[in-house]
Amino acid sequence: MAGVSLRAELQRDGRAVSEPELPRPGRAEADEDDDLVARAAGGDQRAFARLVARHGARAQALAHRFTGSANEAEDIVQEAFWRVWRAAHRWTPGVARFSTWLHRIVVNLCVDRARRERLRRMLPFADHFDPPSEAPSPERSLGDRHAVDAVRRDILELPARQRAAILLSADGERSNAEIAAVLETTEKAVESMLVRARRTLRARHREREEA
Amino acid sequence: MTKGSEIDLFADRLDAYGPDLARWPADLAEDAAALLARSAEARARQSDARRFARLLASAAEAPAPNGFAFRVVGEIAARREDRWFRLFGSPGRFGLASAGLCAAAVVIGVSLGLAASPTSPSYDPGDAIDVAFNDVDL
Repeated sequence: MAGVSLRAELQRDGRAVSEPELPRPGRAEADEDDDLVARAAGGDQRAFARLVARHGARAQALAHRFTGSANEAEDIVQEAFWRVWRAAHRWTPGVARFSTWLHRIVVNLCVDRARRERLRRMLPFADHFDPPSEAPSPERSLGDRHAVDAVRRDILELPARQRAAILLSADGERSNAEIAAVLETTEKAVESMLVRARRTLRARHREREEA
Repeated sequence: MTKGSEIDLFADRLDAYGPDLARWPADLAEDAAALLARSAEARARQSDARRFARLLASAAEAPAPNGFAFRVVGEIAARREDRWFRLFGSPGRFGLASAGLCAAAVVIGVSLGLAASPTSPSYDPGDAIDVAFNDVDL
């Protein structure tokens, strides 16, 4: 019983139960992360700060593009790292990648927030949804910037799980198996989410191009 | 398999695994490589998928705000201090914690005392009597 509840707790906190084998360079990074988590579990704040420095920006980007707001994303990432700090002593090295754990917590927090936001908007006294504020990146041409901004808006309209899957896959650095580990689902389900998300986004992009 | 359905299947797989064949399951990647070698349409589809993947990658980017990591670490440190403050900074909670510790100490003390007291069945007063009255060196 205790084993079951611990497993459930680890899953709720975002711990991967099993994950595909990593290639060698990825393994070296994962080993370093394991060491940092172990030191953070012992109260080493410098090790914890190093984990934030290594993984914070990517987690922030994921939450930012999921929520459409940099401020909300920062709150989410702070909460995620707070949970990491509190649960670090339960980390088992070598079982899963630290980034999988962190991103799972971030995605769960994003999905919870999106659910609350949906409920809030259903209430009769809810105020208007705050549009995402975006500072345009100076290095892109105007046309590119419009296309990128439009795709970002389309991503925000995807169902939450499809949105998480497409954002996790967008940088091309995670396999579908790794995305499945983050989302606690099967590779087949991830493939299906990605197919639907890519088709929706491409169809909207084409409509804009043709218009 | 007809040429059209082969291309459709390839397009489905591009949506499922992305344009980079290194991310595909090995057997499917092998089939895809063979198709790409003989079909201009497949190459065009892969090229489209690459362009769209680049657009998606740009859309998913978000630079971390200035001082982001410092703020995260600072926030965690503040929350840790806040936990101690909540325990010791509140007279009510501190009193409750102290009362709990005192109660635990009393229970432990009484238990130990009972275990070693003269009323305990295992207690033998003979040694004490020998020392007190018969001056026996134990």
